[in-house]
Amino acid sequence: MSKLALRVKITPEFERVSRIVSTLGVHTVCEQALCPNIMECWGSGTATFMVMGDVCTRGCRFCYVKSGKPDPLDPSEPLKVALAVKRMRLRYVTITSVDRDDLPDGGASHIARVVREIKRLNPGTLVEALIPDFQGDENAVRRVVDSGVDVLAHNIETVRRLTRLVRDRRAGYDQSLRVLSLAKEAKPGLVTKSSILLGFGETFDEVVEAMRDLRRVGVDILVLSQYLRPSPKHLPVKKMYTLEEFRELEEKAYSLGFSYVLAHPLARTSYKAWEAYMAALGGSRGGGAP
Amino acid sequence: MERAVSEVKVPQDIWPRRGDWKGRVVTVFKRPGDKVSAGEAVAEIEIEKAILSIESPVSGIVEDVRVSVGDEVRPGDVLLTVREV
Repeated sequence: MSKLALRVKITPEFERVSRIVSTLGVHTVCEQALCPNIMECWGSGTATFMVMGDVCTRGCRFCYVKSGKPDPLDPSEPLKVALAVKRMRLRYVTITSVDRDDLPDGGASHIARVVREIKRLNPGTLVEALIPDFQGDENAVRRVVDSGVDVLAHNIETVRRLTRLVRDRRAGYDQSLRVLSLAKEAKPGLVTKSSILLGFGETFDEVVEAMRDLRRVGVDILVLSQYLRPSPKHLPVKKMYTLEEFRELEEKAYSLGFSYVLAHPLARTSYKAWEAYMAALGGSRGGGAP
Repeated sequence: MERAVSEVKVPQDIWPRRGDWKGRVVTVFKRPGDKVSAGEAVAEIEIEKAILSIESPVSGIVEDVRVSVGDEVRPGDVLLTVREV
């Protein structure tokens, strides 16, 4: 199977971002998930923060983030992240997190605090929250929506049939759709977003069904990307999609009414996020490939 | 005057706080005695998610190649050394 070739490029800008995240003690999903885009993103001064620690209570079979018993929340984390955003001078930031099934509200209040602190120190910055499912807790979803977040993202990750195989047993296809639906109901004008990873063995029709389901709950932005196995312990890649296949799925997605579709092997939820948001706001069709 | 010798390593900084990945050497472009320019690819390492192209940070003559195709490597491992010119 052919693999994507990456040129290792550690630039001064990459090193600047690296210094900021390490000196402030904030986590990034770029590192924790071995994201192949890290050199490009950090090299252009952006990063995606991962809050509530670097240990997830769930163990999805595609994800490289460590699984286990997490540490207590760091009450100073909202300020640390907000300061990192300020130092990086970000116009758009994505906040994602590990799952925290050990916390009564799944960490929703903490995420909301992070969003508010970013907004307080960086009034012009747009904030996207890529949230867990909070076990479908409506109040938890509402808490994040009410924080003033500009984009609410939650990933269904795969098609209905493969959800049990790909995701932790506590996750659910319908539960994830419910989270996205709850967010839209709580604030109808809010931009919502979801991602599907391709390559687990899903069929074209199953992907289209997932897209329809996402549209049914009002999702505005869709990200389609290639699953890349992070280690031999994770699920194997069943199929590497060609750029033509990505284009075909992108066309289909637009025909179903998404405001913006990002379809590319290396697209990730936070990739080109500012462009996606602008296109979703304007209701215009953007360019899909990064 | 003795010229400095630089080590070309498997990068540790790509994912700064995740040093627990490993890879396999799939290509070595240089042999001892070959000329190399700064920024020139000297080896390729296959990891699960991608193939990383490793470049020499300096120009010079390759002195010692420490790995062979098929070797398992981890961040920080030395791939080869270059005597700077």
